[in-house]
Amino acid sequence: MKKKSRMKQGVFTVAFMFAATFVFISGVSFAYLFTRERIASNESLFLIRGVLTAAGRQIPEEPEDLRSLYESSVEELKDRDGGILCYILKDSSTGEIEGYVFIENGPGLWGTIRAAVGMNADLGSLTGVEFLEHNETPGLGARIGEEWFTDQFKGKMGPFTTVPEGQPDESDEFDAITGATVTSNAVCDILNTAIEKAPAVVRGR
Amino acid sequence: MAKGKAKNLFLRNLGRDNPVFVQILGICSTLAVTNVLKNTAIMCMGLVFTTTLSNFTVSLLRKWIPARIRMMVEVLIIASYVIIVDIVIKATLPDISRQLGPYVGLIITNCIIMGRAEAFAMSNPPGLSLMDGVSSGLGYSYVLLVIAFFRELMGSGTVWGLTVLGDWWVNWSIMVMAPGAFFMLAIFIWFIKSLVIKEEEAK
Repeated sequence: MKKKSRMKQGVFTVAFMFAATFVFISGVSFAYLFTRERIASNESLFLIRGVLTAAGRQIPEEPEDLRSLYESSVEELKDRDGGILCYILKDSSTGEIEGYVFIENGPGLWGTIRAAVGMNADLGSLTGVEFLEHNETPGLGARIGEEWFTDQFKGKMGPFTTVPEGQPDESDEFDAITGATVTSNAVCDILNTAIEKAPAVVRGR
Repeated sequence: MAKGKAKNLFLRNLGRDNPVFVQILGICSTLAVTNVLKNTAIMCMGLVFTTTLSNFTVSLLRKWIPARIRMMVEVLIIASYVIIVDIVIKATLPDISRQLGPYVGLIITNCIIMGRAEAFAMSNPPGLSLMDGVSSGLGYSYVLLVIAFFRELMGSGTVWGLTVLGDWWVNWSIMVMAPGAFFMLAIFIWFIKSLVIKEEEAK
């Protein structure tokens, strides 16, 4: 008798766990389904904005304008497997090449830093840098996302070296962030890698 | 009677039973997210939402949850709410979601939520548990916001991203790094314990 009731209890426990899991996971799945498209569109918009910012373009406020600007002026250069090698910026009316944007990854202090690096048509200077992804310390390394930091690359060409924050810099130097040396060096490496790789990618087109 | 009890409970969670500076729970996130005020605020909203709903749900189910697997069920409930919070932030506030990174997901492991579910919601009716959840969440939130205010002010010279201290102010980098959080939290607990709580007990 006792054994049977224990058995019953066990079955109830397992059944309860199954039922509870089913109910709650269904709830989460519905939330996911309802927001999936929105999240995907946020992500693609974010990438588009990053590419256009790195190319030094004016960013329109409205998401639709941003998308149409992207479609009219950017061509994605793909390798054989469909992976994107670089983004080619074109004048929307004449089709003349104005520049290139490369996506480059590298290790930061806490995680991978992913940057969009824009260069002009003859790969002679940077048109802008935009960080798409990083997990650096807020208030320190995360300041690489601030405008004063990304703006300082415009018109310069590497290979770069860093100088302390606030010092005037030459055309191949940029201000490192005080208290975030590792992050600054990581950014330096990422940019130099992108600059080094760029000619081969463009020539291979 | 019941009303007085609820009010008492509410105030206790904000003050004498405060989850952060009396029970010393949820310290991990207290240290991690308080270097910028805005992120802290979003984190706190997520936490209040989760403690409230998970406490309520656990309390609703408390008579049916088998004792042996109660923790599994509690974690399941908490995790579901946290994932929903995470998805909603991603869909509506993509920039903030990017800044918070993994911290929203880490609300699941916040001891306050599990602690309240286990210690309170399992043995109290849903209404009271809901109140307990809200007040624990708020008790946590205001402590974090105070700490974040001082850390952001001293570490970056800004409040909510706006510069308030001029060029004369040299940023204390240590304030935005982990050690700064330890100092601020310790000072906060010391201040509260030696001034506020002691007086209350003397009465």
